[in-house]
Amino acid sequence: MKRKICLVLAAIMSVSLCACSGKGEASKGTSAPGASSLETAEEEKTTAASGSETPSQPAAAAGGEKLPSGPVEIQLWTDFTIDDNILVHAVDGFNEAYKDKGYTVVLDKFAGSERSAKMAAAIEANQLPALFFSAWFTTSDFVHQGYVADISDIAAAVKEDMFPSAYEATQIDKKSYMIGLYQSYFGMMYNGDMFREAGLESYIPEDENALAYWTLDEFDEILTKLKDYFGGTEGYPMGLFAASSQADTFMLDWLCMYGGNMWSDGKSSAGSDENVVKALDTMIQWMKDGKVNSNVATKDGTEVAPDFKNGLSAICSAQISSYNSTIRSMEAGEFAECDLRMAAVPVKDGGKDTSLMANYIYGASILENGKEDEMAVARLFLTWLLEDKESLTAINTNAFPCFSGIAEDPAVVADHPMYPAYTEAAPFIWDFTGNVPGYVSTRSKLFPQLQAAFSGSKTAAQALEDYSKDANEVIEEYTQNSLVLN
Amino acid sequence: MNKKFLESLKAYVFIGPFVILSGAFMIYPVFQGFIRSVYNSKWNRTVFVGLENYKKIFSSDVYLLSIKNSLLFVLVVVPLLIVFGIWIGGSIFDKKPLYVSSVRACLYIPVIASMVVMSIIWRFILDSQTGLVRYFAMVLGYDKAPNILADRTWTLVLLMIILFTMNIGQTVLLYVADMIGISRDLIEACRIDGGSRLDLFCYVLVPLTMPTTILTFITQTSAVLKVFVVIQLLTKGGPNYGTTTMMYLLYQDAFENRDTGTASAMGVLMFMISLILISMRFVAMSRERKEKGL
Repeated sequence: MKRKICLVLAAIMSVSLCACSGKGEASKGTSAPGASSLETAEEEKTTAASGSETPSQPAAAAGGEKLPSGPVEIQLWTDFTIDDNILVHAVDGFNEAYKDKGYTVVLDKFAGSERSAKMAAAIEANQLPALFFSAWFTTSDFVHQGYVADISDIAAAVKEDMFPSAYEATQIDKKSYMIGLYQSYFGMMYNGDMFREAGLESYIPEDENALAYWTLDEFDEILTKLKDYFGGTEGYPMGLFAASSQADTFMLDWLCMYGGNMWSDGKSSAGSDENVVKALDTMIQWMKDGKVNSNVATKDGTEVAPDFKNGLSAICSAQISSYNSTIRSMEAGEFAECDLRMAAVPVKDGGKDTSLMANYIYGASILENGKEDEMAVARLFLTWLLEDKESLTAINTNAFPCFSGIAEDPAVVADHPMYPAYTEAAPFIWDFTGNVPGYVSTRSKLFPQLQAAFSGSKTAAQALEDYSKDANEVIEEYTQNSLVLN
Repeated sequence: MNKKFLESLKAYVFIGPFVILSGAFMIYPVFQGFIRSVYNSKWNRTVFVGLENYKKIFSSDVYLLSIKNSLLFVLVVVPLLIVFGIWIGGSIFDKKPLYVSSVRACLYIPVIASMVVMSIIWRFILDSQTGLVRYFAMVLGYDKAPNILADRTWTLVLLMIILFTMNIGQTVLLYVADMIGISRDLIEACRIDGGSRLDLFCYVLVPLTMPTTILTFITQTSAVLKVFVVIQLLTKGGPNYGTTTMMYLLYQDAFENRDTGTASAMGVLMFMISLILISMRFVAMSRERKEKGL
């Protein structure tokens, strides 16, 4: 009996030692988080000479990354509004290419509304994924909080092929924390059929792929005619919403309709800009006049699009990617077919008519999850993705590409006839975040003040002044504590 | 000695699973909450900040408003639940069983109904653009319907009504069960002595259901303080923080702003408020007993 116990104990010890040995090897082959993990010249030569890299593993050969021994499984979290098959195809391609090394990427796609809670829980449980695909403005707060790795070396390799605006937008202090994969201009989506029925056909561009650019006076007329069109029904011309932090982008677009500045010198200046106050007063008047929904203070962004699809409104907020997904759902028969179009937000800046559209950069980041093996594989995945033209093109064309080579490729343009219109919209694009530290946190300060203004408990001026005060406290907190600025 | 030890062991075996599970999932988290409330871990590093998180709460108008709203809900809804619980329970407990069961079932339906579904239905009813309110306004010839959810006072009243309807079934159920157990002799004695229905309530039912009242007070205080789903789905703490509660801000801090230090401090404050309210009730009860010489 004693002999048996001794044998069992010896076996357990042997297995434990083997496990320790395996871990040691894995650690040995791992690069430090955030630091450059380029292989030494000697190791690179050894790899090249051995010819062990297969043609299906171009990233490892080209980047010369120091690779951990497998198996290594990493999570890819994303809230992209994208056809599932595109990301699944990319992930499958990588998993197949690195099957022999035992690297696996597991995709977890979720709604943007779940992002904050999911990330917060992961941080508390020390279970952050290695890869995070999201919008830059939502990722930037995590960068300041120290959870996103510097990937300047990977970004630099593709800099020449990217639009400079897309490349620079994801930098803080000259360091890249995200590689932009597609950009999505944020304006309005309108129902052309309803416009025609309301006698507004002259405001619909002849080219069905063109963006509509109306003047603010024309837009007021559009709202007035649509109000008559919906008269006596529960429908409404355009959906405005201020029930949650989702109210930021569209409302910021409209708050600038008289050329006001939301941000100035890295601070919120909305409260002191009379043009922003005038814009909010105009929106409140629209609500009183029935030109927008009567429940702006309690309407949520998630309710506006379904209303639009159900024919309850003629205009709703939209960005390129959501416009594309709406078209996909319409084609899938989820709602009645109609003539769906996009438009820019009209602006009257000092008597001059112009337009604007906010810009979302969606891209890939690597999170500092403290697991060196996972981060090394995440870097490898990014490098692989940037070299895999098929996957890169499929993701970029979800909206408007961040890569000029893809956006200008005649074959791609032929499949995406709206690209020339998006290129024309470039002069009207604005950075709605002001690139201020802590922008995401400032969003939670905006909607309560908008609610106060729309419900009449505060004047527009008072509400915006209070918003600026609260937002500037957040910006100050992030500026003082940011782990990348200090 | 051995027999005594075995008896003790049996008892420990029975309470063991509860002690282990409550230790792991209740006591330890509470303990962790106290510790985290004096740290700031928002910036990928944990820094001891002493009472800074508490200072932040007590120097912010929004946090103070959330405490005020939470206390308002407790002070209005919990007494209403107790009063109506005794009233409805006392009115039906001695009626025919079928009648008692029917009333209990009707009142209990909101308790078993999903809070999410209830909140969505309320939202549909009150939506001033596409809801029932709008429909009836149009039927009555009005162009617009009032946006009740955008009015702080009305939204608070509405939330109190929702909380009341969602919890009254549970309270009535407990009181009826307790009252059915009261000796018939005492009820008969009250009647023979010429006591009215009001006397029956005041001198028999209310004193004899005091343990149920205490249980209701404790459980409902805790439930009302923790109200979250209905606020998240119906008002999102608005308009302009008007219906923000401690639990809602706790969630916002922990999962939206990722400020676990302040969220934990808020949790500790909720714990303290519950403790104070419940202690006050126990102190009042023990004084009452002493006065009666019980």
